[in-house]
Amino acid sequence: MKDKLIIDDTKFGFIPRAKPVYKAEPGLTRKIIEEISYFKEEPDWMRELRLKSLQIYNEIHEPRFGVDVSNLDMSRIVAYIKPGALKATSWEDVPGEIKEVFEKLGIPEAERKALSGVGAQYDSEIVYRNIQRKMEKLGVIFLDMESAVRKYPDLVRRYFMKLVPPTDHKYAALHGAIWSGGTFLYVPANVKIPMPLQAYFLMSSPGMGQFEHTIIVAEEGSEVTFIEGCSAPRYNILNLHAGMVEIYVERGAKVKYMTIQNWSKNTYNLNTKRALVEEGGFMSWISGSFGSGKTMLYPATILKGKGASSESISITYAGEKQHLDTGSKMIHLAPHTNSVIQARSISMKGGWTFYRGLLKIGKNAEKSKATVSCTALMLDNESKSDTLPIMEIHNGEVDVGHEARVGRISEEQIFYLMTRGLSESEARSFIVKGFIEPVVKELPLEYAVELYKFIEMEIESSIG
Amino acid sequence: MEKTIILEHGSEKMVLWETPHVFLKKDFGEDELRKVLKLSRNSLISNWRKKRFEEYKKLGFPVWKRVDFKDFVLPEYSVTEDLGTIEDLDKKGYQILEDIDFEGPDRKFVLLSDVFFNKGFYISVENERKEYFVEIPENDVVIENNVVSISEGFLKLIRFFKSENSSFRNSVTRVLAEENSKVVLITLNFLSPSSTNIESLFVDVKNNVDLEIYDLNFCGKRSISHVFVRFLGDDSKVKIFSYSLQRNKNVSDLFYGMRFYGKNNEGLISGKSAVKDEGKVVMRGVLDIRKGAKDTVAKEQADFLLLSKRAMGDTIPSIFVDENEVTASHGVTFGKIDEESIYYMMTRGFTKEEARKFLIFGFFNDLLEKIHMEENLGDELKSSLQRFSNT
Repeated sequence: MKDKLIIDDTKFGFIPRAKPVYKAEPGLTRKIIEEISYFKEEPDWMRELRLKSLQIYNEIHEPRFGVDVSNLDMSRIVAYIKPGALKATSWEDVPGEIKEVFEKLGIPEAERKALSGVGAQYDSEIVYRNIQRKMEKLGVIFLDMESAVRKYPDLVRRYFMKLVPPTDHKYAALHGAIWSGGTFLYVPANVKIPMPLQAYFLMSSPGMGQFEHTIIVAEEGSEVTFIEGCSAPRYNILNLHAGMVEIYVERGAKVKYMTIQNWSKNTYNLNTKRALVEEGGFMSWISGSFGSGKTMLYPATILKGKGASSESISITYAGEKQHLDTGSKMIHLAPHTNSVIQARSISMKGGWTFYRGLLKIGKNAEKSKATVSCTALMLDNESKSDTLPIMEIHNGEVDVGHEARVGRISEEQIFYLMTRGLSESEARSFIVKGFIEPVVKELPLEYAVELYKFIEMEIESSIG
Repeated sequence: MEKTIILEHGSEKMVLWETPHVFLKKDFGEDELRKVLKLSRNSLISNWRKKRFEEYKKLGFPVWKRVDFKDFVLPEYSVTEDLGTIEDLDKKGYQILEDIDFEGPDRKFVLLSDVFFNKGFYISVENERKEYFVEIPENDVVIENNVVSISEGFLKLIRFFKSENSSFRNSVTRVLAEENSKVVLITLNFLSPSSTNIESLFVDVKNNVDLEIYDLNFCGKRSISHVFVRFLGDDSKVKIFSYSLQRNKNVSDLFYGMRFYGKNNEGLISGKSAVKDEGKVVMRGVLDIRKGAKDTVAKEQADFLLLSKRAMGDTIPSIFVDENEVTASHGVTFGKIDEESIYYMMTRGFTKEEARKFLIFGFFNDLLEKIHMEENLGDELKSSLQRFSNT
């Protein structure tokens, strides 16, 4: 029986033709940062934040754990590219070249499904956005970050990099200096948005960084689901993605944040995501990491208010030349807080998945409950799968459980399914689909279909 | 040197945390080395000490995140003529010193024992059945270096150390378990709540070995225990059972690691810790299955009983897998003595104190069952548990 699986990424292996109109010089200087800020017509506080972040970036050390980033040449990464398209409000206005990229990534399907709003990011700026009037009437602010900074400077300032300050780590500082694009979503009290809001990010210029900043504020009693997806065409020189997501879940609010990450394999995906949950609030992270060459991503929830809760459900997939270091962090600071981490990973064709998680129960988090479960599937013998969950339980009055397993698909399982009439590749993809089911079942239909197609394609190419 | 953590895959390397180090105002140096060299009559050992000193003097002491060594001061060095049976080390034993060269909890502490040991034993068992009981006499400074070799036989080795006063103990034990040997290693640490203990146990396991390790750490201001087993052959079974009690504001930092190179081996790491007051137990486990280590079965389990609101338990159970024909898993539970259990037992006629004690003894029940020791050691164990559950 063949074990080898081949990754076919031709689906995203194309080069778009859109030409950028403005391209910053490679390398990071104070001058470039000031130029970016000037170009974006930003208020003084934002310019100061960028400059302060640049200073921190220059002084702070590289992360002392995780993937090796020694080949990441910052001088080659251009910080900012203004897209060749003007802002569009409807699909017809989006230029043909850009549409071509979106089409290969499935954006039109998503559009046809009439999801409530699409903020599609081409290069560093939002080029396409469609918000339903109904939501505007509800007082929901759903804007690209640049516009939000200009239109609501005081509101944005209250939240921007307050949860992840530039001192957090080197790539947070870098992000603070050169962030560009992203989404600002503000949901007023007691507003429940009935359908998921969606933003699709792309990056498509050689050697360019993608540093989108997303802020979601869910006021008391509100509810929202946000979907972030990203993919990138393939190039031979390095790409960096150092985005940031900050989510504020106020009293009794519910936020669900879904990500499907499918960057091309030359991308360093060094992303930071953090949520702060007040009393009785609920934060849900649903993450699928399938692309990039190297990833470091640890969505974190800080359970600050009494009775706050959070779940983090994730699938990480590493194939050929991929090293994905991912994990969830749950920090319980208040009594009666609950968290669930369910992490699954698949490694094949030499890929390396590394689960690195943190569960911290603080001194004042009595009567809290937490469970952590990590499962890894190794589909061949060229791959590597590691698990390193850290648990710090600093209160005796809690219930905590953890389990982890690393395994493969056994021949017996395959044999059994084949006796039931499935082919070998059907049997394998059946098992893998079952394995990723906890994430898939949370996704909207078109994402689930796409993911299943991806799995089938991978398995079939390995057997055939 | 065998690194504790190896995270490499093909040409990829993980960035590993590097512990910062500081040079203490007072460290052992050439004066202390001269002092002990004068008493040694074994040239193999004298040369070993000198060789390792070259590396030792270049290194500082670690600044650990989870155990505070800020107020740590190296005590005054002392050594007597009675260096122990390590003085009888032969060429075979010397080869074990050379071959079983592990990084340990920190290289500095491994070298500290290698260079300045003032006590040690050398045990060699071949085709025979031996049982040893080693009691370390109370002393302010105990620095041990032990070597054990066993092949085609049975060895049971119990090491026991206890102190009333503040003491410092740094120990390295290297064990080579060769073909068809059965080994039971029991370490009993009953050092006083003001003591510092740094224990390293390194084991190389060859073919068809059956090894059980019991590591007991009952209190101590800082109890660092580091056990690392390397499976070099096939068809062996190793079980590590760890039991710890911690209280006051004291910390135990326990590390149990297994690295699998050979085929068809089985490894189990099981840790039970009960913590009260503002005590803290850190339990780390590493199951590292290298490429080619087919049919490995590796399991790790950590259970904590947190007996007060301020008690702390940290656990980092890691699994690193390079080979897919394996079964590897770990599990963790954090329990407490909840009001319901106490209430239930009180309805059965127990007092509150009795109920609490009963539940703590229940948690450690398998320890009392597993270790059939000499009468007085069993009593020592029980009275320690009694004291711990009383107050």
